[in-house]
Amino acid sequence: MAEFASPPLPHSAQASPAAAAGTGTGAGTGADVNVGVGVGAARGAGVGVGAWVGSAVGRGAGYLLQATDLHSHYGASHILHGIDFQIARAETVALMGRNGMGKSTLLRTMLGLVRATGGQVHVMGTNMTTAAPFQIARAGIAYVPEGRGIFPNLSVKENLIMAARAGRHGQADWTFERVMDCFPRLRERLAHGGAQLSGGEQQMLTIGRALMTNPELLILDEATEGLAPLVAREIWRIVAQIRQSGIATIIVDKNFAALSALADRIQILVKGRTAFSGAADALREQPELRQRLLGV
Amino acid sequence: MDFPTFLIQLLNSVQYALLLFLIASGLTLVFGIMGIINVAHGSFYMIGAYLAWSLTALTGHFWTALLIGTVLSVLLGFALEWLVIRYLYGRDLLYQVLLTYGLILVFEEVRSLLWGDDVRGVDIPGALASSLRLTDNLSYPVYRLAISVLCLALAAAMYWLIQKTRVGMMIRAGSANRQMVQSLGINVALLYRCVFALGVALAALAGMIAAPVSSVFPGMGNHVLIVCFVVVVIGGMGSIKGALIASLLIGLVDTFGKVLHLEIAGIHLLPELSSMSIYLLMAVILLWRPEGLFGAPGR
Ligand SMILES: Nc1ncnc2c1ncn2[C@@H]1O[C@H](COP(=O)(O)OP(=O)(O)OP(=O)(O)O)[C@@H](O)[C@H]1O
Ligand SMILES: [Mg+2]
Repeated sequence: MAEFASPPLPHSAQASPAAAAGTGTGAGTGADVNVGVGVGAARGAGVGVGAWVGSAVGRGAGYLLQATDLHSHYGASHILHGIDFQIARAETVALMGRNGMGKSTLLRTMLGLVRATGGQVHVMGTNMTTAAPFQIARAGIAYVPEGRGIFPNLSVKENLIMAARAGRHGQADWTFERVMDCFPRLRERLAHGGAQLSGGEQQMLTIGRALMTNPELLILDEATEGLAPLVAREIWRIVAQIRQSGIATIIVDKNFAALSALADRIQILVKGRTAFSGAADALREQPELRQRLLGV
Repeated sequence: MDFPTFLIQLLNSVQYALLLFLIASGLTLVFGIMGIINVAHGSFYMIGAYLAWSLTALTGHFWTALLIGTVLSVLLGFALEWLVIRYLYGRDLLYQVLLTYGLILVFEEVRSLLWGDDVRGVDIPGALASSLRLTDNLSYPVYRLAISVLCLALAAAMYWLIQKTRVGMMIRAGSANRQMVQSLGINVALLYRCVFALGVALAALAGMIAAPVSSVFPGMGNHVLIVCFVVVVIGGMGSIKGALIASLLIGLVDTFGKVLHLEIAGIHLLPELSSMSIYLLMAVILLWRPEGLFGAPGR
């Protein structure tokens, strides 16, 4: 438990103007949150409003998920070179970086799907570096993988109910009905096979399925990739809603504008190392840094 | 062929088919869901038959033997998955076939040590030892009917389990994307161990209930294994529904192939045809549908 009492580890950031855990949860970004693509300043009033998650850390509640000096390999190739990452309750963290920089690998290593070859992963204070993926999921972490990962041989309804589970504190807020209310388009397609859905619907199904596990942390890897702008906007609206409901989220995406509107913090990976970690505003004000790290 | 004879042959073929289905369903389940080709699957049928024989001798009661035998075969399935099969997931077919072939040798050796090499018989349990009279000189044993009924009930239960329950959904989901199922908080390793044990128990149960109508002998699993593979291939690898239909087809073709052979034997017209009939059926079906009746194309 000692690791909680200690202050958050410093980020190996080249530039981290806002201290890592120094931004608010943004609980103040009301229901009218404008996540419209390209609206850079949508967050505005969100900063600094609401209970500061950092104080919870100070009291020892700890991070939902914390990676310390994480290394991982695919065969002989060294992909992650000592990454520190952490996310607190109800926080939204964006993970960015160009193609092949290790974002998905970081997520998959924290989820136990790729074995860490160095460092540690703690889930709510428990060392789960070598835990099985299902144990990590049961600790309250839901995963929406790159490429979606719906079960094409199951109907839409089956995809959802097979995942249904109460959270680790017995919370069952996300019922089948609530998920249906959140994704009305799925309701019309309950009997369809998973493979018959459009890309956007598949993405909604994967997110809905993740919510059926009543998670405390939702991890979205490229949730809008390959979707038409209108559909992508719908996904962003849903993600904002989920965030609003108090679920912490880690979002990997290429859309800086949409992410900076949602995220409390942005962490950028370059070749398996953290190149930046800080508030979105700091990055917005430094176009040349952004250009260098992200190419946008 | 007069009607009563036809009826008897039909009942025989259905009973044979359903028994076959019980064995083949485990084989196809384990292949379709876990991606494992288990050539030792026929051995479970033999083990079941020997269990029925020895446990009936021990307890003096066939149904008690059936119950204990089922429990033992579930345990065997769990142990086997844990000791051997789990190392085969995702491996090349060659490893799977070699290792499970090795298991056949082990099982035969253990059977020889435990139960000897003699042919054994099991009495038909008293309550079902009677026959139904069809005509003055034709009757049908009640026990064979009971086999069919039990098999049908098990097939229905399996359909319900796989298609209607959440566990069934998890099992099917696992066959599509095992990692994703894990990431939803489901212990896939345990789930698969159960599926494997289920397959073992079904095959052993088939052996146990078949024991009173067929003799119990060394190597009895091998012939059954080959026919089961024919069933699985015709039905489509991994399809339970396909296995059921294919079993019925094979049952009909095999039984009536033999009968027709008897009838045309007088003219010596292709006497070998009857023993080849099920393989011919397989060849024709594969020419028509290379992936089998209900197989996923490109698998
Ligand atoms: N299964 C694998 N086997 C070997 N190398 C891999 C594997 N998966 C990814 N890599 C390599 O690891 C590196 C990091 O990949 P990763 O998928 O984590 O990147 P990413 O940041 O998620 O990229 P993208 O934006 O394209 O999704 C890349 O160089 C990639 O080629
Ligand atoms: Mg990726």
